[in-house]
Order: sequence, then structure tokens, then C-alpha cells
Amino acid sequence: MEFQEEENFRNITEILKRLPKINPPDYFEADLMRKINSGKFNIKIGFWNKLLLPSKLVPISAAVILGLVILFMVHLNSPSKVDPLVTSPERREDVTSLKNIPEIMREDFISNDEMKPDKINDIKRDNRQAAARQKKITGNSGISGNTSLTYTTVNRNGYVNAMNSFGYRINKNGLNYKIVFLNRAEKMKVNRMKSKLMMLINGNSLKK
Amino acid sequence: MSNKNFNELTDEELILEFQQNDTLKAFEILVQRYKNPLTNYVFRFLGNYETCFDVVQETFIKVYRYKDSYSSIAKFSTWIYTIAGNLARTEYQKQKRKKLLSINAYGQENENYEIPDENYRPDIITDSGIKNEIIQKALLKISNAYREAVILRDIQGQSYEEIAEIMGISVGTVKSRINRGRAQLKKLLKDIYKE
Repeated sequence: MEFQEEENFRNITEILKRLPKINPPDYFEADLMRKINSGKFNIKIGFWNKLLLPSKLVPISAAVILGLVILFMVHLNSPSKVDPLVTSPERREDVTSLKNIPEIMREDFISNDEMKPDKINDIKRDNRQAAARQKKITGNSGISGNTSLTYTTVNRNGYVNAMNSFGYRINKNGLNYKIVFLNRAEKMKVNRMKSKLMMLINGNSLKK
Repeated sequence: MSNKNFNELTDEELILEFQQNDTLKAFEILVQRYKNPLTNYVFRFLGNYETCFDVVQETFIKVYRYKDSYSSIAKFSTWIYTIAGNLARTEYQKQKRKKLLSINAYGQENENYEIPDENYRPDIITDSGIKNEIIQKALLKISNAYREAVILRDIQGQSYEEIAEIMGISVGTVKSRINRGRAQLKKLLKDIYKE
């Protein structure tokens, strides 16, 4: 079988055997020995070896890589919130301060057509009377005189309009205010304070 | 030991001398003995004389540097042919990649082109030089594994057992690869071997 296969390809094997022999140039050995003696072998240097050569750079490279890794880790783990002691405070959207309302806007509140001038005068007068009453109460009970009383009216839209002792109206319409839910104990405390205040007010009015 | 005595030593004795005593003369004799067959083998495998020269030199440099990795159980010829074969295969793959990249740079990506073989003109084959070139090109057209086996058997005259050891495969696989390689060559060279 093997012999038969050899016979089948006899022509091919003959052609291949007749091919001329390729020899190296005369300087082959001299060139080889020169390369060996000079020590310049064609050594393939890997990527990491190339990166870390010369060997003196190894500790520096390691330190740089380590530094970068640490920086990356710290940056990843740092909180996104800014330090309040370093940066200026941001304006909270959920709190509206009356101090921030400009004077023109306060005038607008008062000149609103829903509040007639005579009504405003009535409210102002009421406010003054209430302030005098309050002064009397605080004088007896020791509650701070800065407490401002607020009178409310209901406008035609059903919204509650309020005018405090400083003379401008508080309108809940469009106001972004915060709802605070009290727990049972807090509610009881508030109710106690309310009833105490009511008792004080009633007691004063009876005395009069 | 005199020069004459070195020349009488077998390959295995020479490499042993080089391993044990660092005798440069023993290495030089091995270079003298193997430079021609290795150049012929690598040239037939790669088809490029300049690259073949570099590969053979690298083979000898590897023998020089890693002489201690040779074990006396194996034949020296098998060891040195294995080194040359590995280097030649690596070089061939490198050349192939380079060729593909240079073609792709001008054409569409991932598109391979068949380069027309202008020399393959059966009607004008008269010169033996051209004939040899055609045979060499046909050799390069068959797959690497078949080509290596055919070259080692039909050009270098190695035994099936030696080829099996060089290529790291069984004798049966060697025989089948040689037959398939020959069959492919027969097809490619049908116009030549009729003469």
C-alpha cells in the first residue's frame, strides 16, 4: 500500500528531489560568529520589559502606577457632597424667606385688587389692636413680644390670604412650602400649648 | 582534542563537548554541518532568501544560547530541525500578516485579494530556472503542515520517524500529511510533470 502510494507520486517526488540546493552565502559563519561574539542576539523584548526598561526605572514606574491606582480609588470613594465649611451655602428651594421678597413685590401684594384699601386699613387697625393685646399678654405671661399675629381672609378663589403685622399678605398660592408631619407626642405638646394660650387669652378677656 | 578529532565526532558528541567544556570549535563544526541543509529547508518553507538567512542564523544563535536545554536522548538533527521549523513557521505567519495588512491598506477592510501569478505560464515554460520557481510557488500554495512534511521527506530526505519527532505528531499523521501535500502539488504542477 505504502509502495503504491509512493509510485503514485513518483513524478512529484522526482521533481522535488531535482530542485537545486539552496546554500547560505560565504560570509554566513563569519556573520554568525560576529553576532555571537558581540552578544547582540536578536532577543525579542516583551511589552512589559520594554515598558520597565531600563531596570532603574522599575521602582519609579511602580510608584507612579501605585499612585495612579490610589488616586483613582480615592476619587471613586469620595462623597459627592461638598464640605459646608469650605463652600458658600446654596439656596434651598424648599424654604422661601420673606426677607428675600423685594419691596416692589410687597407693594404688589398689598395693591392686589383682591384686597381693597379700606379692607387693608381694617386689617392694619386690627393688627395694631391685636399687637396692643399681645403686649399686655406678654407682659403678664412672659412670652416674647416679637410674636407676630396673622389675620387671614378667604379670597374669591377660595385661597387663604393672610396679612401679618408687618403689613403684607401671605399667599399660599404657588408657594413651595414644606409640610411637617408631627408624631403623637409632638401633637399632644402642641395641643397643650394651644389650650394654655387659649386659656390665657380667655382669662385676659374675662378680666377686661 | 585536535581539530581532526572534532570532525570525526558525531553531532551528539559535538554538542555534548560544547555543553560540558564550552568548546567553540565543536559549535563551529555543527554550524558547518547544518548550515546548508537548514538553509535549504527554511528557504523551501518560506520562499524568501533574505528571511531564510536570518532564520537560520537565529537557529544557530538559539543553539548557542540554549545549548544546555538539549537532552542527549534525542538526536541533534531532530532538535535543530525543530528549532528551525518553529522559527520558520513564526516568520511565515508574520509575513502573511504583513502581506494582508499591506493589501488591506489599499483595499476594503477584511477583503483578501489573490495576487495573480504572472510567472505561471505553462505555454512558455522552457527554462529550468522558471520551472523551479513555479515548483517553489506551488509549494508555498499548499498548507503549512503539508508543506513542512513534504519538504522534510522529499527534499531533505528525512525518515518518517524523524519527521514525526520534528513536527511533534505521530508517524501515521506524517504519512497522511505527506500524501495530501503531494496530491495538492500534483494538481498544481500537472503541466510540469507531464514533460
